[in-house]
Amino acid sequence: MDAFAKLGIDGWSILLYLVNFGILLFVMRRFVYRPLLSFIDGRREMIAQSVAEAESLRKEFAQATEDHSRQNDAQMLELRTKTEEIKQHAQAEANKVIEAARSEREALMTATREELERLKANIVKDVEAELQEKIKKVLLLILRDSVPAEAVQKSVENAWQDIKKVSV
Amino acid sequence: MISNLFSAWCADTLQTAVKSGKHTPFGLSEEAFAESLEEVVFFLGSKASLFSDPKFLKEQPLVKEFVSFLGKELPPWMDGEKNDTKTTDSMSSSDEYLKSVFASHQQGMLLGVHVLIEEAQKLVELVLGVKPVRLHVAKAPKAEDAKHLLKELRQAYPSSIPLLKTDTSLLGGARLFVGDSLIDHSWVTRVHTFLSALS
Repeated sequence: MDAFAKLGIDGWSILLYLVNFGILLFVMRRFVYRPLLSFIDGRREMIAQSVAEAESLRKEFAQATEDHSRQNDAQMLELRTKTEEIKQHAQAEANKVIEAARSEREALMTATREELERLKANIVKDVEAELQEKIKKVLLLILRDSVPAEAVQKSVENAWQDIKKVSV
Repeated sequence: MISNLFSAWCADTLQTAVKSGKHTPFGLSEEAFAESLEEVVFFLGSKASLFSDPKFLKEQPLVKEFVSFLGKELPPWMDGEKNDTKTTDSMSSSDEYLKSVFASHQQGMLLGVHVLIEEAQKLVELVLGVKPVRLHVAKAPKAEDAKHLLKELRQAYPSSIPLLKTDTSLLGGARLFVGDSLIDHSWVTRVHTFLSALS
């Protein structure tokens, strides 16, 4: 006790210290600790709320992203379908144009072939007619100038005999 | 030409009737003969062609007698049997006319004879309904052969006055026309047939 006394610590001091400490504890508890706890709880709650909001936002974002992705896919599908339809339509139109051109070409070729055939036939006919005319001229010339009069006379007699068989 | 012959024949008929004192030729009464003769003379004087009034020709008895005359009198001339007949005062007008026509025939001038015969054929067809018969030959036959041909034609087509005509364009053979029908045995037709067969 003497030691305490030498250090200036006696019962009263200890009591004073204790009372002082009690007051300090009360004040600290009352004005620091509680508000601090309350602040910490508030912060914790706010953080939890923020986390929850963040989570909600994340989920919303994910949902939105998923919706967007779905929409995007649907749009892409629609776009592809439309593109395909346009392609098919364009192909059909192209086929029609090609078919029309082919038909026109065929008609033109047929007409040309017919015209050529007609021209060919006309040429052949003309050549034949000319040839026949020449043969005729030659034959008539030979018969007129080169057949002996006796033969012609004989032909008259023969013709008359033939005519008599038919007419008399 | 047939009009001239008809006129000559009418004159002969009248002359014969006067000379004989028999005014009823061809079995006609005197009135009918006189009336027909008057009508025919008027007709020949007024019409440009004998064939301009076929109905008149068909109805006139004198025309029928003339056609009968043609059938009897033309063949001897065509056969050359009467061509050498001497002209005398007693020769009939129709014979004189025929002699003048067939004299040109002997000289190679055939057109007059052909025209006369064609007109005679036309008249015969009109009055008797006998179709004209024409034989076209590529070369003129000898007189005897021509006579034989004509004889055969007359036998084949009685009442007809056949015409034998030379047509060198036939080149050979002959063609027989009976009315509108044709029997063709000419060389030129054979050539055409041959060329047609080629085409």
